[in-house]
Amino acid sequence: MKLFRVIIIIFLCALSFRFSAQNQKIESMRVAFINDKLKLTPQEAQVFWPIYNEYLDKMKAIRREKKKLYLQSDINSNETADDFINKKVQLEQTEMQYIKDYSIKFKKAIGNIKTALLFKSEEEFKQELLKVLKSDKND
Amino acid sequence: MRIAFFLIIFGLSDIVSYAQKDSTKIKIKTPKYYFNTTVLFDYYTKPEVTLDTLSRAGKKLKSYYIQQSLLAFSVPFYTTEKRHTDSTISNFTTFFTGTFFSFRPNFGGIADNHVLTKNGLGVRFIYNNGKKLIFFADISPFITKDRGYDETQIFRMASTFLVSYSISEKLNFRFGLTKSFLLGNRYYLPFVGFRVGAINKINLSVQFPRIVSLNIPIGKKIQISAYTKPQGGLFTISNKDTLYAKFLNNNKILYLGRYEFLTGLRIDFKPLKWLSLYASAGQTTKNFLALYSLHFNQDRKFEYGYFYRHFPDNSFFLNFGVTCFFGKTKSYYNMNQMYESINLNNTIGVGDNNTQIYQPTPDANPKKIKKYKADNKEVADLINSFDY
Repeated sequence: MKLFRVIIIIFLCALSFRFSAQNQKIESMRVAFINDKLKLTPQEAQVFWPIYNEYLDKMKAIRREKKKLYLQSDINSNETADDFINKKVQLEQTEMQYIKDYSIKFKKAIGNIKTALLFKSEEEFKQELLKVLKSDKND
Repeated sequence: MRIAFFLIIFGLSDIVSYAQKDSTKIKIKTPKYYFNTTVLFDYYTKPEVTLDTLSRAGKKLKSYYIQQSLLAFSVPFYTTEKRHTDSTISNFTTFFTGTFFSFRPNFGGIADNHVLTKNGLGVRFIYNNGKKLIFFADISPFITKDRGYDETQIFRMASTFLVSYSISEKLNFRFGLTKSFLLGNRYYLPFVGFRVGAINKINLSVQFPRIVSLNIPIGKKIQISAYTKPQGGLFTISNKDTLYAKFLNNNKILYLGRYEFLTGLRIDFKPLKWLSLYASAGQTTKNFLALYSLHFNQDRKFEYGYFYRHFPDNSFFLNFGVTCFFGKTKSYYNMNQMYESINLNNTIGVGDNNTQIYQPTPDANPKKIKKYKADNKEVADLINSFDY
């Protein structure tokens, strides 16, 4: 029984190691990608990154809630369907509000052009990841 | 009651409040703190060395070897941030800290050996102005006693106040004051430190009176350090073995002071986001053991005067430990001042025990990763499901 527990713990550790390492790699890719695209001056970087980190935390939290909603919702009646739709709308509205709020903060910190470039590079980053996925599948 | 205490300590109170929330409303929960809740276990031992045979106490004690263990935790419980007109963000974090320290000086001449403990709860404050300055304060009250002898229980207070100033990410200075018992006596010392080299790169860190280290990171999970640092403390010990024979009625309790300088190599390995392991070995130098009379020193405000003092021979030492990190933290990519705050917090360690924690911060200028293997599930988190 003890051996079984040890095996389970080792397995969970290995699994968590794999996922945390992968997520960290993707995050550092994202940082590298944005750094490369925006070409911030040291002064701009000093004010931009704290705001961007805040924005990132909020967007991550939204993503987590969305994931939870999609995975955990059991839609089997009008009420549960209605609840799902309301939550979905709420999340989309909150996400949009964050983008609105933070675009003002970004514009103030790094100007209009670099803010636009930031949103553009975020989308480009997603495309890059998809390309990597596609190329891996074709390999 | 105990369960509630632990829930609060490990930040699990959020889970409780989450379960009680209105099911129709979604609350977006972002991390509250920049720092993880940290739990550290440290073990240290050094082999037997003979003591002097000239003094009465030395003759009684004969020899000693050391075993000590430490369980420490640090829990951030309040963070506030302020955005300034120049868009920089300053932040202030308060921590609740605790140490449970057990020290066994196994004397060869004493049959029933002592276990000297040092347990305390404290607070720590870190204010980061978002530019170049960090203010740090640590207040660590603790109770030291000889286990099994309640009359030996004594309250003490260690504290450290520091200012950290970063000229650039490669050069940092620290100045301040510390009241410490680390050197086997009660000392009020200046804290003077500097670091040359970025935190995540090869760096030389000189932090008097805590540690001098040359740190060499290997990748993002391993660090090798060559270091020298003092380790010790001031404890109370029962005089049941009549180590001090004068005024026996007034000297039922004695102070035991001890320190040694550890010079060696340490390897840190952080295999998981929440786990860090380390092992260290080397030689102890400038070993010091002293006994102080409580009665003789009762009116002293600063350093105590000893009645027995010895400098044992150098010996080998072994030290290893485990650190666990709990909770999600706020993102701090490219925020050099946060890297400095985390490094400062980990270098000073919890309480007055001089135990350092390895916690690499994200690379400030990561290289572009061109080829990366990932599967759909991992990337799904980062891609909005309605984009494609």
